[in-house]
Amino acid sequence: MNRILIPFICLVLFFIEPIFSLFSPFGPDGGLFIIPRFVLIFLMMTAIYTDRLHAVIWAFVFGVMHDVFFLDIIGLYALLFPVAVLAASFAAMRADEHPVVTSGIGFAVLLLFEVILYWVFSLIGFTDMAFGAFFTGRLLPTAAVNGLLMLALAFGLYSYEWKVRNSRYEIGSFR
Amino acid sequence: MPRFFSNKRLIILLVGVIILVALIGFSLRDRERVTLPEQLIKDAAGVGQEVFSKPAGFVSGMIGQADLLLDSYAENKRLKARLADYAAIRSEVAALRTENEELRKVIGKQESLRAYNPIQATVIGRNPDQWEDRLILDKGANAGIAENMAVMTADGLIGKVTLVTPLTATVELLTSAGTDYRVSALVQSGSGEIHGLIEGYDAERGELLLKRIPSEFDIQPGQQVISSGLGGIFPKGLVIGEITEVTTDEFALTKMAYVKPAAEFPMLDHVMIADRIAPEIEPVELRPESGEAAE
Repeated sequence: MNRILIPFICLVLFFIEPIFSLFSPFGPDGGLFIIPRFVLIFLMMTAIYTDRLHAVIWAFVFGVMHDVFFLDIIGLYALLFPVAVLAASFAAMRADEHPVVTSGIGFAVLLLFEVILYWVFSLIGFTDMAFGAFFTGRLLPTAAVNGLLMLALAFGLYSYEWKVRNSRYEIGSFR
Repeated sequence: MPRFFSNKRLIILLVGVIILVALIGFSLRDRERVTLPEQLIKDAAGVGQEVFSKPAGFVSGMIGQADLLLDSYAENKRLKARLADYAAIRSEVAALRTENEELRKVIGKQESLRAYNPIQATVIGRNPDQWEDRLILDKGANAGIAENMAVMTADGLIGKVTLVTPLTATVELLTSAGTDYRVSALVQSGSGEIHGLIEGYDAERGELLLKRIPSEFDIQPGQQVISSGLGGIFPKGLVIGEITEVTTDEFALTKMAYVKPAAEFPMLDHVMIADRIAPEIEPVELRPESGEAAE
């Protein structure tokens, strides 16, 4: 994938995230939260399939933007985004390239990411949600929706990479 | 086992982590104002966000209007029934307003706690990880918005402004668990006004907690709760909600009531910021480290 394309797609996803939560029919009243993690899942899959270094750099940049724009705690997402992206890509290095496997790895990292955030926010007193309520009300719906998106994204990137590689062999160029 | 990092990289990574953790510590403190780089990022992101939010808001508005159209028959019936009362109430309001003005002149009182300049704003985003319930508005200090101003919808109070940059403002909703602010409120009952404080939100019931009501006063479910204007920041008379249940406080010294908020929190797109005309009083520091404890 083109390197310049990564930040542009991230920027669009970054701006779609708050709109998603603004118009999401699920909210505090229903007790169900679906938290969009579009930037994170996109960067994790990019790191696994195309370009780890750039994915990590942009994960840091968009982590800082998230911190400043939404949270006013600088350093939280800026730390967790790159770590999550790195963890996913290192785990995928030793595993199969198949989209189901990679999105499974991404899913596990996402679960860990959400649990760590929950732990941090209950530590600093932003929330007093019990772990059970968090698990059923936030973790499961968030992981389910983002996991499905990640699976679709992994299939897309996998077939794209596969095509690129095949076309290289067809031309017969040695690298 | 493959080596993921060389020594040099590992050191850079560790230093980076330490710096970030230090930054978290720095920004967790209660800061008076945002730093300049933060302001720049916020404003730039706010402008970009508007480009995406305005069309989305437009589409959702269209859908909302289609919904309204479907309901309009039943609604029309209900409204017609109310229209008869409306004329009577309007003439009464006009009479009361002139009487109020005359009485104000008599006692020489100019400023009212009720008076405020409304500033219209559009919500351009909601904190995607909804740990803290926050909104981002498309107007900021340039439009006259300042920190601590009350934010409401047509239905009632929803929160207050916590941060402003020239082009954006951040609103913390009443439903946020991390809030350390209280709203001075009063219950409108037949016998007069009963004061209390809105402190906290019960997420399971979806209702606000009205605490510190003196136990000798009688309050009933169904009575309306409005802001009292005595907190020094919010104007008087903003609708907060309706009492649904009355219990006693944890020490049984005062009463506590559950208040169903009048505004709808899940879907917020257009809000109004109340710029109080009466002089504002500096908010009282509620944090324990300032020397005096909260109570």
